[in-house]
Amino acid sequence: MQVTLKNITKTYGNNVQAVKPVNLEINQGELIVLVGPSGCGKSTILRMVAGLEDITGGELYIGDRQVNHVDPADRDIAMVFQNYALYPHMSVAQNMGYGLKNRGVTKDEITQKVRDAADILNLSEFLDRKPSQLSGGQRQRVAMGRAIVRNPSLFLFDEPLSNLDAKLRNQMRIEIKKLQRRLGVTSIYVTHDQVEAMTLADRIVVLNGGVVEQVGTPSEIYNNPASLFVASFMGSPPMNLINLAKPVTHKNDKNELKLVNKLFGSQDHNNIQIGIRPEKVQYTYDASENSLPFTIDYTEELGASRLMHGKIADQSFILSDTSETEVKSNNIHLSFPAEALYKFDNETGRKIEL
Amino acid sequence: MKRANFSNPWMPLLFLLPQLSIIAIFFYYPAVQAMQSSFYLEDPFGFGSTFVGLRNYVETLLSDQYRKAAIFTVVFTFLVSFFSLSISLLLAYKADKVLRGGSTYKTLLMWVYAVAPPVAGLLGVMYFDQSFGLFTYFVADFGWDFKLGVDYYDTATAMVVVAVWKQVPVNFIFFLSGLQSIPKSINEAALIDNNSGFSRFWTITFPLLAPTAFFLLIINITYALFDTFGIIDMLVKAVPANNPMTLVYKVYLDGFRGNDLGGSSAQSVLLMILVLILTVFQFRLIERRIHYT
Repeated sequence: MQVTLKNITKTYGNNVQAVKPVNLEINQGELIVLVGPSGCGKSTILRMVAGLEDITGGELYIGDRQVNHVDPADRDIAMVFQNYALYPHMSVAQNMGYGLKNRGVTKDEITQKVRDAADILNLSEFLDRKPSQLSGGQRQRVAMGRAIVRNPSLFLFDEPLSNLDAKLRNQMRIEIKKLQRRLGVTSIYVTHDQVEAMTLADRIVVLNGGVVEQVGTPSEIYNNPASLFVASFMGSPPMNLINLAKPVTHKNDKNELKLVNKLFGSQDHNNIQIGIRPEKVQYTYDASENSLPFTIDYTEELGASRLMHGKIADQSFILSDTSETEVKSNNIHLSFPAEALYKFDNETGRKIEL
Repeated sequence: MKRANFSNPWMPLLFLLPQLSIIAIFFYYPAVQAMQSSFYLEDPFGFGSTFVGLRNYVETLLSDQYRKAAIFTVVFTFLVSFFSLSISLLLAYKADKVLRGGSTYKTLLMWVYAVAPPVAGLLGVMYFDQSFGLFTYFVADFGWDFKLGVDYYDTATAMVVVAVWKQVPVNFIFFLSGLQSIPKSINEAALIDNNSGFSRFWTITFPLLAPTAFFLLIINITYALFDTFGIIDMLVKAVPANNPMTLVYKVYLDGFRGNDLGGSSAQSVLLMILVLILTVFQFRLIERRIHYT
């Protein structure tokens, strides 16, 4: 089912506009991830789609039907909550069948559907247990089961993995992705974890302060960030940003800033930030015409790569190295391939096309 | 639970002593005395007593008045528990949903909690009295000649109303905190699973409130049986006549007004047995069906 958000806004009683007009078209079968720091409005948008929160302005369509004032139960959606929200007094089977029962599905059909869903999720042996007798991962599965058993036209996920430990989180992330592909149900997924967003999404919506910063596929978001915020939020480690307008007092920093300025040829417009991904930075041991001296303060060994932290013009800078040989000296020279550079306007925060 | 180890075996006893002595002095000692005197016939002037065996029990159980009071007690307890529980549940459910000025409502509803039972009874008299009661004036306009202390059913009505009114705030506080302890997301999940508010209440909210409701049921039965004494005393103005009364009030009346200490003791022993049976019954039968998270 296609989902359309037209100028959706949310204003709370104290006149705080939590969500500024959002426009979004979600295609049939697509998995959209809303990502952003806490308070960016991502959960509010999801809850407005679910009908748990009133929509202040704009129009929401699920399929061709406008659902602004439709009860949550009549929107043909299913939601997976962060803390699972299982009914503690019901067994696993009853939890999964509750939504069907209230929609007048016959007993035999409920039993069949619950059994099918339990098969998919490996829950068959737990159907008679109460939620309190299950582990975190199993509860998460029951919550998923409760959603898929109804075969809704839209799935909503509200940070469903944040209560799990790291290993289980990775495993469940893959399972959710597989399940969503298999069922082909349109989904909206909210998370604050950019890794989760990158790995799960067909398209990512990056939000900040109630405003959509960028909508795009994971690789578009990563390789072509539209704003300073997206550049610094997406990617781990984040993109290096050097603010050319930063006032520095130390003589050495001043020199470095001048050097950076010269390297990027940005004399015409100084109020900008230069960005480069840590893995795109190259280093040599000898100085060359277009290189910048760099002192490694400390190194993080990650196994597959190595992160080297230091400072350029008093601003922290990371470079990531995937080669197997360790860096021999702490004093190296960096060079920046022109095609890997980004320029952002300091005032608007938007990207400047090079 | 952490297990404490005491080097001196008398230590735990020492710590328990205050509690044990209170129970012994104010419960076991009078209980034993009551059991003892229930087998004696007391001289009305307190000069002596005669051992009469089970005669006090037999007379009590065969008495018409006792049976009448017993039936009234059952009906009274049922009505008071039922109405005070259901009214307070309704109020708590509605108050829980109020967003604006919610705390004002809650405070107003809880105020009555601070009123002592005899004062509640006195307020009831002000309201239902035959010569100056507001309620009496009001219903007189509709042709109901309300006679507190004279008409059996009118008095009973006043008793139930005052007793319920007094108990609602207590139940309200417990129900409200019970409702607020249900995670918000469970209510939201139910909102997506079920579009009928009525059905949501009975299938999700009420089962999750069951532990609270069960606890309150016991509290309310105990209240209606024993703590309504002050209210009843004020409303019947210590003039029993044809008025309805509970078994507890009858114990007081027969013992201290009728000077029949033996018969009154026999009645209180019967009450003790009744409470014992009730407690066992409640915990054995009802508690099994209740889900505790």
